[in-house]
Amino acid sequence: MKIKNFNFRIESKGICILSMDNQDSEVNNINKNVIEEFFYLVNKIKADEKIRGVIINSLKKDFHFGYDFKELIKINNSKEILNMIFKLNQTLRSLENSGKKVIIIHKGRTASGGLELALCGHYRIASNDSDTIFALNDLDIGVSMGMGGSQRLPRLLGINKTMDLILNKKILTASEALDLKLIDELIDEDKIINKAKELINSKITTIKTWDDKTKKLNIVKPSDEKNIGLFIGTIAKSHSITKNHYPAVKTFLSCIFEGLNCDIDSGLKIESRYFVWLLNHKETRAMINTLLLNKPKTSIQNKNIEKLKIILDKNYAAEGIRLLLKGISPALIENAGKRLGFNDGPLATADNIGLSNIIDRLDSSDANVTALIGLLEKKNRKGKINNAGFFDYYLKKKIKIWEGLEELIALSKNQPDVSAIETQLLFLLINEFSRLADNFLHNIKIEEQDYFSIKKCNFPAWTGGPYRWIKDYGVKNFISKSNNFAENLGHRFIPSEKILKL
Amino acid sequence: MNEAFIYDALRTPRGKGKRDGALNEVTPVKLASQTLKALEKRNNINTEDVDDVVLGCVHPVREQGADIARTAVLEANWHQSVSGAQVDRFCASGLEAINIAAGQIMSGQSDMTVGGGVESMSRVPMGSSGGAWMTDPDVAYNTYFVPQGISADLLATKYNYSRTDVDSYAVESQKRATTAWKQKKFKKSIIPVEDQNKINILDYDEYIRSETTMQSLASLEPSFSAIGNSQGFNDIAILKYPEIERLNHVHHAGNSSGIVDGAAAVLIGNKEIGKKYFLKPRARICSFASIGSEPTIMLTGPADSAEKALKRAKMNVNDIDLFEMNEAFAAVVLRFMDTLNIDHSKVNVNGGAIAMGHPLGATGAMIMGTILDELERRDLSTGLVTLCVGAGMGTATIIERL
Repeated sequence: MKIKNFNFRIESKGICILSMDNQDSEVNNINKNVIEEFFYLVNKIKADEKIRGVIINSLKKDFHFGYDFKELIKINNSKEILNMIFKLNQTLRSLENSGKKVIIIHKGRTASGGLELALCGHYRIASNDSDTIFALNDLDIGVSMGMGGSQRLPRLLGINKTMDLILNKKILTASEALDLKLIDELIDEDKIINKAKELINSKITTIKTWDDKTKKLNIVKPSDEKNIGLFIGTIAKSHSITKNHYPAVKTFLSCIFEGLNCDIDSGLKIESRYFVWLLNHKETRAMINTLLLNKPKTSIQNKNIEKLKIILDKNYAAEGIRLLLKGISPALIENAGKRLGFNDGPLATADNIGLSNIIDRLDSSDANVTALIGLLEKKNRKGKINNAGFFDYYLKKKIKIWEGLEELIALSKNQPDVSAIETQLLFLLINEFSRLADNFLHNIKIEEQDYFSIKKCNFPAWTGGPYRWIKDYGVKNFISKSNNFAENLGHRFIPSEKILKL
Repeated sequence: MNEAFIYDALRTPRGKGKRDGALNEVTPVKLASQTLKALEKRNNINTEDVDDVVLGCVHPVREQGADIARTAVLEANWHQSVSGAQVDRFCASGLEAINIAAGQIMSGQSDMTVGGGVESMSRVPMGSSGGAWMTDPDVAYNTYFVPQGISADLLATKYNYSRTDVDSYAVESQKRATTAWKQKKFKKSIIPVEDQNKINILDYDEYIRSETTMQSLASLEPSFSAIGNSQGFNDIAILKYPEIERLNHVHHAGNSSGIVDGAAAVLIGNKEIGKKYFLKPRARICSFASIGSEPTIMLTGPADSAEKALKRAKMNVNDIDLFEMNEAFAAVVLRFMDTLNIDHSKVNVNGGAIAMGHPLGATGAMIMGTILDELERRDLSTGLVTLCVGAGMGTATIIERL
C-alpha cells in the first residue's frame, strides 16, 4: 500500500515513529484514506516482532483535528459511515491492546477528535508551550465524539469530570490538561522526541486500566445508585438549555450512560452508532456546514453587525407585540421564542430594548397599537430599564407578565399551536435578515452571512443560519409560505431577491 | 367468569419513613410477613390452599429485592407451595397486586390469593432503584421527565389550584384522619407491628399532625421550587406545556403525601374457598383498570382509570358511594374530584396520605381496606379505589359489598 498521509519509520532498538501528515490538508484529519492507511500500518506494526513501541506525533503545526467532516457529510449511506467508524475504532483498539508501547506527542492544537485518537496511547506527553492546547468544544459545531472518546475519557477521568469538560466545551492549556491527568507529562519541545524514545525503553504499562483483568475499574457505573442524581440532574439541565435542537448533547450523554454500563468494546460500538445517528440530523449537518466548513477567514466590522443585530431584535420584539394584539397569550409568544433557541421571548426582548425604541416598527395608524402604547406610557411601563414593561421586574430580574395587559387585550379563545408562532417568528427573522444583511455585510457570501448571523446576531445555531435553513426547508416551500404570510400579515414577510435566486 | 371476593384486608400502621421513625428498625420482609401471618391467623386458613401472594413494591432493590413476595411467604412460614410475585406499578403497586390476585381468581386459575404491598421508605429510600425513565438520556429527553413534585405543581398551575386551595385540602385531610383515629375507625384493619418477642413496636399511624392549620401550613416553603428552577425541570415542563408562563409551586411537605413505612395484605378467593373456611365474603371485585396518559403532567390518570373501570362495571360515577383517591399531592385529588364532578364528602372520608403517609408499594392495598371498613360502617354498597401513578398512569378498582 502506498502511504500518503503518514511518515512511517523504524529506528534502532525497535522504536517506530508514526508521524501524521495529511497530504491534502493543512491540518491532520481523519478521512477514508487515512483510516485505510492507519489500519494497514497498525497491522504492520503488530506483525513486526522487532517493534517494541510506537511514537505518534504530527509533522504539522498542530497535532490533530479529528474527523474530516467535509468528506464525512458527503457520504449519505449510514452503513458506509458506520463501517468506516468501526474500522477506525478497531484499529485504535488493536493498537491499544497490541502489547507495544504507544507514546503520544502533543504539540499545537489537539481538538476533541485528536484527543480521542491519543487516548489509545499508553503515555501522553505534551510540548511545554502556550501553543499546545486541547480544544474539547466539539459541541459548538454540533458533533459528539466518535473515536472512542466518550468511552475512554470517563474511564480515565471519571464520569463527572468528563461531563464537565465536554458539556462546558472547555479549551485547556497543556498544563491544565496535565493537572486533569489528560496527559502524563509536559516536556520542552527540543527534548520531547528523546523523552518519547526513553519511555519506550522504560517500564510503563501497556495495559489500560479498563483492560486490566487483575484490577477493578475504579469507576462508578451510570446505573449505580450513587450516579442517579448526577444523570437526572445533568439530563434535565442540558435538556432545558438545548430544548430539542441540539442532538449532540443528548448523544454525548447517551454514549456515557449506555457505554459505561458495559465493557469498553460494547461501549465503542454504542458510540459509533450514535455518531452516525447524529450525523444524520439536519441540525448537525447545518451546524458543521456553517460553523466549521464555511467559517469565514476574514473578520468583519463589529459596529456594522451590531446595528444589524439591533434592528433584528426590534423586528422580533415588534412581531411579538403584533401577536399579542391579536389576542395570543403572552406565555405562548414568549415560549415560542425560547423554543426557537432565543434567550428571551419577543416581549422580554421588547422590554430589554425599551418600548420607546420599538414604536417605529409598529403601525401607528392601527388603533390597537396606539391604545397599547398609550396604556404602557400612561402606566410608565418603559421596559426593563424602570423594572416595568410587558413584564414585572424586581431589580432588573424578570418576575412575571404584567397583569395590566389583561385589561386591554382580551385573549383569543382559540390559541394557536405554539409551533405556528415559532414558524411565524422564524420566517419573519429570516426574511428581515435577508433584506437587511447586504447593507451591513457587504460582499460577504451567504454561507458566511449565515455564520455571522449565529455568532453575532444571536440567530439560533441549530438552524445553520438563515440561508442554510431555507435550503434545508426547501427554497420553493419557503418562498410560497413566506408569500402566504405576506398576504395575511404584511409585506415584511416578502422574500428578498436573494432568497428568490437561491 | 368467576367472581373474586375479598375476605379480609389488613395493614400495619404507618411509621415515619425516616431514621427516627418507629418502623425504621423493622425490615421490609418482616413488615410484609407480619401481615401474612395475621391473615392466616385471623381467617384460620391452611396456607397450603393459598395459590399465590402478589405484593407491590416500588423499589425492589437491596433488602426489598429478589422477589420480596416469595421471601415474605417463606419468612411468614407459610407452606412452601405458596408462590410469590413482586409487582411494580409505581404508586398503585399495592392496588395492582390486588387486581392481579383477583384476576387469577376471576380467570379460574387460582382459588385463593393474596394481594398486598410493602415499602420501607426509611430503609430503601425513594429513587433507590433508578431506572431508564429518569437516568437514560434518550428516554428522559424523549419523555420530558420531571420529578413527580414538579408534575404536581404543573397540574396545579394548569388547572388553577392556588396555594389556599391545596392547603385547605390538606388541613381537611388531617382533620378527617384525626377524627377517624379518635373514633377508632381503623381498628378493624390495623395489626400492630411487633418484635420477635411479640412486644409491640407501633400500633398507630405516627405521621399524623392533628394540630395542622392554614397558618401552620402557610409557613412552609414550596418543596419543588428550588430543584425546578436550578435544575431546569420547570423549563422542561414548560417545553411540554408552552401555554404556561411559569410554574406556581404550591406543594410542600404539608400538602403532599408523607414518606412512611408500612405493609398491607388483602385475602381474595372464590366462593368455594370461602365456604371451606366458613368465611363471609366482605365484597366483590366488580372491575379494575389501568391507563396511561401524558407522562410529564403525570398525575391526571386517576379520573381516566376510574372511568375505564366504571365502564367495565357498567356503572357511572353516581353509582359509587365512596371513593379512596390516594393523596399523593393535594392538587391531584382536587383535579380528580373536579374532572368527575364528585363531592368531597364522598372522597377520602377518613383522611389520606397527606395526613397518614404513602408507603409507595403498600398504599393501594391499605386504602382498599380503609374503604371496605367504611362501607361496612356506613352500610353503603359501592367503593372505588384509585391512585395516580408514575409516568402518567392511573389504576382503579371498583368493589361492591355483598
